[in-house]
Amino acid sequence: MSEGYEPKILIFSTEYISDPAIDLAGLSHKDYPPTTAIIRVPCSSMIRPDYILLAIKKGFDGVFIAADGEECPFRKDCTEVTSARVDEAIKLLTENGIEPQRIKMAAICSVCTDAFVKALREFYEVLKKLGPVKRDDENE
Amino acid sequence: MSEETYDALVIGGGIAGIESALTLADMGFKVLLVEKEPSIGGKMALLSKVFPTLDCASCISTPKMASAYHHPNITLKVYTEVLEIYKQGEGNFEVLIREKPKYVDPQACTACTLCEKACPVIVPDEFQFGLRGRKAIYIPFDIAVPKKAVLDIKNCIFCGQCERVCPTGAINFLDEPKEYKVKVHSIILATGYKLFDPLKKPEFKFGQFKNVITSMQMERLLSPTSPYEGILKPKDGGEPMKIAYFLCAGSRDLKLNYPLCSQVCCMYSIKQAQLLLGALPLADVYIFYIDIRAFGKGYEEFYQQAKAMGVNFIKGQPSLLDEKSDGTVVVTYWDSNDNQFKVDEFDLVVLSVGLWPNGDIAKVFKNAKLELDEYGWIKRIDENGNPVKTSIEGVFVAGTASGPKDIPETIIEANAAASQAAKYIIKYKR
Amino acid sequence: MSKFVERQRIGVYVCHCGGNISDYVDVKEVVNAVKDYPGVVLAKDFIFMCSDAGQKMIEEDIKKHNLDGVVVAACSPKLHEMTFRNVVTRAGLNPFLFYHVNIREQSSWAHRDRKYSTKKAISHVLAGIEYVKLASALEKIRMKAEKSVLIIGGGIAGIRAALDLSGMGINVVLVEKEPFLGGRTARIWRTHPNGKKGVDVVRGLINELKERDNVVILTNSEVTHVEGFVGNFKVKVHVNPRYVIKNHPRMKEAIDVCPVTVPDEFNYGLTTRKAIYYPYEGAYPELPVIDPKACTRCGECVKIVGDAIDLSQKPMDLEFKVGAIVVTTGFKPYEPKPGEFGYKEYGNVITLPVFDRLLDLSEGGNKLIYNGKEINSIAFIYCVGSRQIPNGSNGKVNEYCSRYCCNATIYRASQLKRKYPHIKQYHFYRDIRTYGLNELLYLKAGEEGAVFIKYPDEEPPKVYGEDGKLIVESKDVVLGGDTVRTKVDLVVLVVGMEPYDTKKISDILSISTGKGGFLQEAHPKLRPVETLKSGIYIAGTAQAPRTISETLISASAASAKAASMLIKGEIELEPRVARVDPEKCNLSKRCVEVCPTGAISFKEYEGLGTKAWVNEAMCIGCGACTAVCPTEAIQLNTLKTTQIKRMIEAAIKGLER
Repeated sequence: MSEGYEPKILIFSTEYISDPAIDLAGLSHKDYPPTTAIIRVPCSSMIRPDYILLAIKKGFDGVFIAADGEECPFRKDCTEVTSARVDEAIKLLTENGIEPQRIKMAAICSVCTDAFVKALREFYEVLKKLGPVKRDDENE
Repeated sequence: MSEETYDALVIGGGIAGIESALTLADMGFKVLLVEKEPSIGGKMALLSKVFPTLDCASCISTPKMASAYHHPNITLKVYTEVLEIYKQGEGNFEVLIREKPKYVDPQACTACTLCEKACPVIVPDEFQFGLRGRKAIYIPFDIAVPKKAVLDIKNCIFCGQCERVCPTGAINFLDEPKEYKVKVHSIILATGYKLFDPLKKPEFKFGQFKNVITSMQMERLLSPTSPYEGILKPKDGGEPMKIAYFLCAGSRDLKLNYPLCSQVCCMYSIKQAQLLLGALPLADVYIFYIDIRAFGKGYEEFYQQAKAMGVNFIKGQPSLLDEKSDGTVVVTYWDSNDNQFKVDEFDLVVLSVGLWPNGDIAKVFKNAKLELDEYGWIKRIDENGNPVKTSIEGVFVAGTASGPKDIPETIIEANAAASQAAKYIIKYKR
Repeated sequence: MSKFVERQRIGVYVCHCGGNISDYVDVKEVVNAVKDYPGVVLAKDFIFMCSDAGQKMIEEDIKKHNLDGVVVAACSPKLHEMTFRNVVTRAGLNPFLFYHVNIREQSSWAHRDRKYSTKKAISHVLAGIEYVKLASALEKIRMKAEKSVLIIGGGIAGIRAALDLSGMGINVVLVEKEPFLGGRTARIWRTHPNGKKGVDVVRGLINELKERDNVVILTNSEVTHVEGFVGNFKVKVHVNPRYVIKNHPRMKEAIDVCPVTVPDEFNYGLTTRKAIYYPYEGAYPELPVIDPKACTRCGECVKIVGDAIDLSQKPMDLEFKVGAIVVTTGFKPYEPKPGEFGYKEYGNVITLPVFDRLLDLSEGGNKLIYNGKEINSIAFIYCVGSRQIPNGSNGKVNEYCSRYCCNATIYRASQLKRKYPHIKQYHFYRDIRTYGLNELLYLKAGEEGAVFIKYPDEEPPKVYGEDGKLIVESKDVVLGGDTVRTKVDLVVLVVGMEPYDTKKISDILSISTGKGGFLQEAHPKLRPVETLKSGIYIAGTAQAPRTISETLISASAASAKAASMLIKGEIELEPRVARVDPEKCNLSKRCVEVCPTGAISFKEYEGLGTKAWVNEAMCIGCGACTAVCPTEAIQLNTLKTTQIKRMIEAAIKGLER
């Protein structure tokens, strides 16, 4: 069954930094998994851990946070604060019996298309190996 | 037809001009921003990362470029030149402007790139410093603003391919230059610099030895929007393992009758060296210098960091070059540490080219004299009182138009010029 | 709080981008997938939505179908989000009831398989619809701002800023700690490039300042407390008594009659002054000051000028409001440790600022005399107190380069040559950093015969006495490391710049200092004269070592930024701010901890008690608070937690089709 399995990834991008990088990936036709949906937020520090749990419960196989990193226009400690949220999310996933590998965070600068594509492809492979999420309420 | 009036004319759409325009526009002044290239952004938009923080250049320039493009108080004219300026009393300048024909209707163009793909003509791409070709019809570069195609009519063969594929019918071979006059209350000159042309110094063998490149070419190679995939030797496409930087290429050079220091080359070379060590972990980088001028905030620390990372600094000037059949460059230099001549071989030689004046703007002032210094930089008339003033009251200078400068200083000075222009407008606007 | 009603009449517009989208995304299928989606009343596709025809279509639909929300699926929002916001506004709809969905860069251009890119496009459009359903109509936040600026520090940076701001019609309060304006620049002998004296540089600026009627100057004064936020800072200033309260025709006599003589700090003790004094001819304010520490209250001066002097004058505390603050508190020269290059060990080892005063005081003659002896040879040692190498033992070191010193010393070399051609000069340096156009100074000094000796980084020169002379001994890197011994009459230590009391001012203003203790800018390139605290700007050498012209430029830049904030008398802020629902707030305080600007505090809500509250003027809209609130009481106006959740649920539906 894992032969045709295509993990679905929710990507959080940031308006000023990583979203332009993802745009540029499209512009230069860099190939990355198409089973992805992108939601843009101002700053990656605003991502609630329960968004990640929700995404996976509702059918995504993994969540990729394209974080601001040092270029964050809002706060110098963006990476630190976002990481703290990711740590909480990992805990939350584990508590709910979900593999913590289903969340991935990488700082993507506004022209770091290669870094984005590489990180996303790797994440896709990780999810593929993990296989589909075991959900209790499959018939949702 | 009555002439358009603006509070300020900003000449030059590099980072200095953009910043000046934005600050004035934020104050509520109406600004006309004129850029001769088809995109704003200047040199900064083409850089990789910037010292000493190593944040990416486009992360800083693109949001500012977009704000300038969308700002309700800024009228942006790209591919446009200022031909003549007449001062008609304080607070009153008449400006003759020429919009070059783009042969593409910018309103209709959606930057779909189909014309680029269809065009059969390839010419060297000036925005990639010749590392790659572009088409005769082209979008200047990935992060160009506005993102619109222009047709380089000089290289066009009039095959009509672009016209056939354009989905919006934007191509217009009959486009003509538009000349018109505007009135402005003040002027900011942000005309920037020219890169030193290494062909002026045949000893550098630039254009002759393939593995001798300029620092600006290296900047493109290191950029995330690199024209190649990675850092490669032009001769054979292999990865360079031993790289030399020649500082002061076209600076501090009495033979070229150009003794000035370009102020940024030490730092950008140190930055490139650090980036190279990251991109090519096995490579060795050598920097040949006269003095290392790491004088700005955080720069000395950045220099010490490069030393700690293993960048080799050699006080000495390389004096002769030879090329082996595989493209390896042979360098002879006087090593003052050891007090002797040495010979060494490098896979790649990077010329840290300097910043030269771009004083052409002086001649557009028809009835007032814009003073330049003896080398052609716009002269500051009140260095220790009001440094952004030029010899013409109401005309201010920002950024590298008055001499070499790094990016933070350029941006600060752009704001200073905006401040002086604002005061002048308030005083004289009728 | 009124119950939020979801938007029910949403229009969805899918752009072909002339094939750019439609070649790889089945736009018809996108339209079909959303046209019956709850809340959507119409869905259309069009060849170029951004074209005039496309814009008109949307505008007319909004009016005709009474749309209460719009979704456009097209290129990247970076390109046309503004365009469509304007369209929506023109049609009379609040621009925040619009969402721009990216299906070109992030779908049709990214993925070449039509099936997948269509699914992804649908997923993005569904998320966009959910966003709009819960979107609130928002207006820009406008608040009244004081059209006045406090400038802290009355050196050339502070004066320049005062000139620029007052010239733009903004009221200025300039606060200086010392009794006179002009700061360190007034002590400079001669300045590059035209040899103007430091005092004349200051005078030039002050002459202009005298013409301004919207600048209040408070000397002998210190800022003691600041609270509030951009547009509305409340400031407290402590004004020390000057004792001289007005001028008098016989003021000079009053000074002459003073029996007290103390070392004159303006000249670093090379001369003396009275207890009542001016630091130099033409100092401003043009009113002498009485030094309370030196004054014996003998009253001799009062006998001459009467009520122009009030020895019982008391300090004052002022309180006022300003809209912004510019900090220009300057630097202090590095003070070498005793024994460092023979400092304090040998009488003829002095620092560059002292040397400057010596040169200035010697202007009249053609001999340079120090400590009663004629000086015929000088050694300059560079990088004293700059570029120090950490060795783990001696505590704080200044690792930074002080930037001005090479230029300043080499300029003095040429001026020295002109005035005292017979004096031999030896310059012991590490790197000569006469950057940019300053290189000409270096060339000139070399041509004039100044000798330059490069000493190794790790091995600075040694200074010791021999036969009443000073010896400077150093390795010369350029000569392959040979040792050079030079006998000189005077050693000048070229000392670097250190931040002056930045700790104190950064505490009062809650702004940060960086490496080396200088004030820290928000970002060296994006916001080089701003601090992370909105409405507080920095300039001059308090921020980093700088030359005179660089200092002036940064002061003008800070003025521009402060003016652009205040010039309209009101501040306009984007409505992307966080807001608290006090009914939900359970006082976890986690939002306060995570807020990068200190925008969140607590206030009393009627009937609800103390709950969190966001100061919208200070909120930058990062949304970090919304990620930590356990009860989701705090929400970003433009992207609520419920919106994100619904977008996630909608997005997966699109992909799972």
